[in-house]
Amino acid sequence: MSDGEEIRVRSSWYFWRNLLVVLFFIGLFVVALNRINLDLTKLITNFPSTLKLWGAFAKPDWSVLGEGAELLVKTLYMAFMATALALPFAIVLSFLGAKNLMNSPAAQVVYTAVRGIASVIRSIQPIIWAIIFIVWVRTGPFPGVLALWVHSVADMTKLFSERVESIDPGPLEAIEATGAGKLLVLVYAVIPQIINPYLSFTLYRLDINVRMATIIGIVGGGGIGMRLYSYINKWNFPKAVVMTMLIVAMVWGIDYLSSRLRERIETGGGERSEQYTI
Amino acid sequence: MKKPRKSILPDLFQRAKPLILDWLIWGYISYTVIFLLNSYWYTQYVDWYGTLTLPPWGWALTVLGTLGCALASEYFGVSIGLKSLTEEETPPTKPWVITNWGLTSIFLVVFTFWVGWLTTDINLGIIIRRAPKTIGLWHGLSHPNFAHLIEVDPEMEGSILGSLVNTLFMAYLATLIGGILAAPLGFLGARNIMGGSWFRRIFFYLTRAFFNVVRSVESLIWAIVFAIWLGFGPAAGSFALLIHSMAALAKLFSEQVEAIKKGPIEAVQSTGASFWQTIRYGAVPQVIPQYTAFLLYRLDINVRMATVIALVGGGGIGRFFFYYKDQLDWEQVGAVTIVIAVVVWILDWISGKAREKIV
Amino acid sequence: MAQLEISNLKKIYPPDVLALDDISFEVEKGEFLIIIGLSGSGKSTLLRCINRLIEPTEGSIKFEGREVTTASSKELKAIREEIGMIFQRFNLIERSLVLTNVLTGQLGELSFWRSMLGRFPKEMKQSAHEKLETVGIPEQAFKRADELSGGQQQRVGIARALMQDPKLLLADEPVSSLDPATSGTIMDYLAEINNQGKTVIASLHFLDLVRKYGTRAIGLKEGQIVYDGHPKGIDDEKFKEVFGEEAEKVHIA
Repeated sequence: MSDGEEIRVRSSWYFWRNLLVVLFFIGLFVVALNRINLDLTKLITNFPSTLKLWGAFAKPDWSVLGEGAELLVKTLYMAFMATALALPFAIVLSFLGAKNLMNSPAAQVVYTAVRGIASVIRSIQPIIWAIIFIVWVRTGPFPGVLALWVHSVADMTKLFSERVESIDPGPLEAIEATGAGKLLVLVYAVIPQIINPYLSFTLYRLDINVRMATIIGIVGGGGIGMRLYSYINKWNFPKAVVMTMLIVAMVWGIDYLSSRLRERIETGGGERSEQYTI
Repeated sequence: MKKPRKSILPDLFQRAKPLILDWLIWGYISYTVIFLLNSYWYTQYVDWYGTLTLPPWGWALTVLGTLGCALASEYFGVSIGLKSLTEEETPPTKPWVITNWGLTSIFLVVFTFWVGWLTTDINLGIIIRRAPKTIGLWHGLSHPNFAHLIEVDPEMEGSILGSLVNTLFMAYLATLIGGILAAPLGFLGARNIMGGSWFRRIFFYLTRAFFNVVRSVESLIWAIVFAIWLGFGPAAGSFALLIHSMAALAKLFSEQVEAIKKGPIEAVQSTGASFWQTIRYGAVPQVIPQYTAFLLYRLDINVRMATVIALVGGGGIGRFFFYYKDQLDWEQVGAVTIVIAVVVWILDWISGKAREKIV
Repeated sequence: MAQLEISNLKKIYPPDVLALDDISFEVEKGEFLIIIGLSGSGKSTLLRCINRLIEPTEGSIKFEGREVTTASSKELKAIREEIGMIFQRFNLIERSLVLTNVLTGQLGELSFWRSMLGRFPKEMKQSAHEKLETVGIPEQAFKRADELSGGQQQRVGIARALMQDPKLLLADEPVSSLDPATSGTIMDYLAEINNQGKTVIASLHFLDLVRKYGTRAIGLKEGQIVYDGHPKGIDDEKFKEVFGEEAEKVHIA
């Protein structure tokens, strides 16, 4: 095939193949739309039923601000406790779940078990765990903490162990070569490389837990979610709106702090992107 | 010519740090005092919900009081905050735990932990005492009843698998539409594109504020809003996931846009390409890979959320979960849980592998 | 009238960094002008002012009689279409195909919709392929740009610039990221382009290359012109003046 023809064929192929991919996604979209029936016109026709809700934004009921603030703090603590309690477990499990550290046949079994169980636990949303724990210890913030804790251990173990698996093997080899035992290798070769990433992941998880904590109250898991939901059920929108605003403030705040801290950890200083215009 | 504006906020913040630290420490001290008062003497205002309450004016007084103490300690030179943060860089022979900052941080962490333990009613004893109540639950989970997996359950007007398909479609629609809407928003929220004129800057701040607010409200709460708007059902759930995804993707996407390299853009510009051509050939190819990764990541999250969004009327497989749970039909609850776990696990695995390939 | 006339060019980076200080010179068609100087002497800034990738603070730049500094965006695009540029770090679109990279050279001639959809006309694609042949790497056309070696990537950059059929070629430290052998090859291509009648302005910091390829050299130091003449005229004393007392000659050619 001459070069000219080669170009024509290749360009042609790329174009048609990309078109096929797009068509696939569009097809899936059409089928989904069929089953789910996203009626945009209903958004407009049903709008009146939400007027009470939007109206409440104009006249929020500030009397519940104090109660809301207290619940907010409680929610924050729930997230903190879940993360703090999960951290030690996740750290230990992360070493047991790292392929490069678990190389003996017996260890392989442990590795598979740890990663497997963590995966399954992660697949089950904290809300579902919350329901399980509510049956166990009755409603309140405690089952919420437990639910977040279980999910956090699983998720952090996964994140941590993946990070351990991608460390630089150099120092590992070096220390093993000196004849040091497993524990020493861990302390001197592995740990220095993972402190920063682990810190970063913990902050990330804290952010997620705060978000989850705001909604886990809906099933009875305590915190501000519970109060928000009860106000909505009573159609008391002015109060609900105040609760929502508090939630937005807290989540935004924690998200911002978490991002900034993580930026600092990762770049040890950080640089802003250049500004230029096109 | 553009003059960059130097914000005074970072410097102000630096100066405020010791004060904030002091305030926090005084806050904890006053919490202890209040807690002790509550436990041993002043139980008049304890309600069913928490162990720590004050009469209405109590909180305002506490906040002001602690602020006053913090300001006072700076004035009188006994500020721990100041001492911790402005320490001289001692030679590294002093272990971190002994330095002022080290001690203060440890104190804060331990104290936060203790306060947290009390506030969240952690009670390990209850776990053991009430364990027998959960036997039904465990039995159900380990002997799942897949009766309505394929067969339609008349009370639910559907089967578990049918509902599962709906759930996946909900997540798909939300991710796709949210993703498409987020793309332009991502550009509007990127500092490097939106610099220059006043007009652009306002748009930038508005866009950023918009997605931060929307992102801060979890999909579940949005679902409550849409359930009121559109009635219960998967449509409400889809919109809820959609709007949250759009905001979350827009933010991630704007960060990518801010990180694009100037080089290729200069190169395309230098050939005399128009503004849109430069974006299409210089900027867009730099962001597409990461963007696709974000879409996959978001799809994963949306599927997880979609499994439980039925709680507030959002439709999907969660309906079955909550219905059977209310019936205390643990065997079928177990069935639904297993289906959810399997599907989410598979999707998570696919998503992970696909994202690996992109990077 | 000279092809390029620069008068009193000044560039200040805020808050107070003087990158170019009252630069004036003219370039005739067909010259191979090499700009030398240390890093930070203003070489890059100067080149980028010529096609206004950087906005000058003061001064005038006339390309074939047209004023660049005050050109409207339409005029600027037309000017840029006639000026090609290659960069130190190649500035290819890494995840795109080599062929696509070359094709971006002629985006200015494509209609809006065609360029958005990536539907390049057959003749353009053929031309792009020919340009790749000219720089010796036709077989790389369908590889991803970042799969190529440094020298090959720079050649793609040259092909891209050639797509514009430019009257003037700017080269911002085109060989600084390459090893000595490859540098020679790239400089040879530039010389070849110059032989075909196109003006070349390149910034370099290896004196040997200057002597070998340039017909004229301008030395920049801290934003000012300290030498303007034939490359062979840079004797040891001049050398120290341009590069500073501590500089030592390095032989690479």
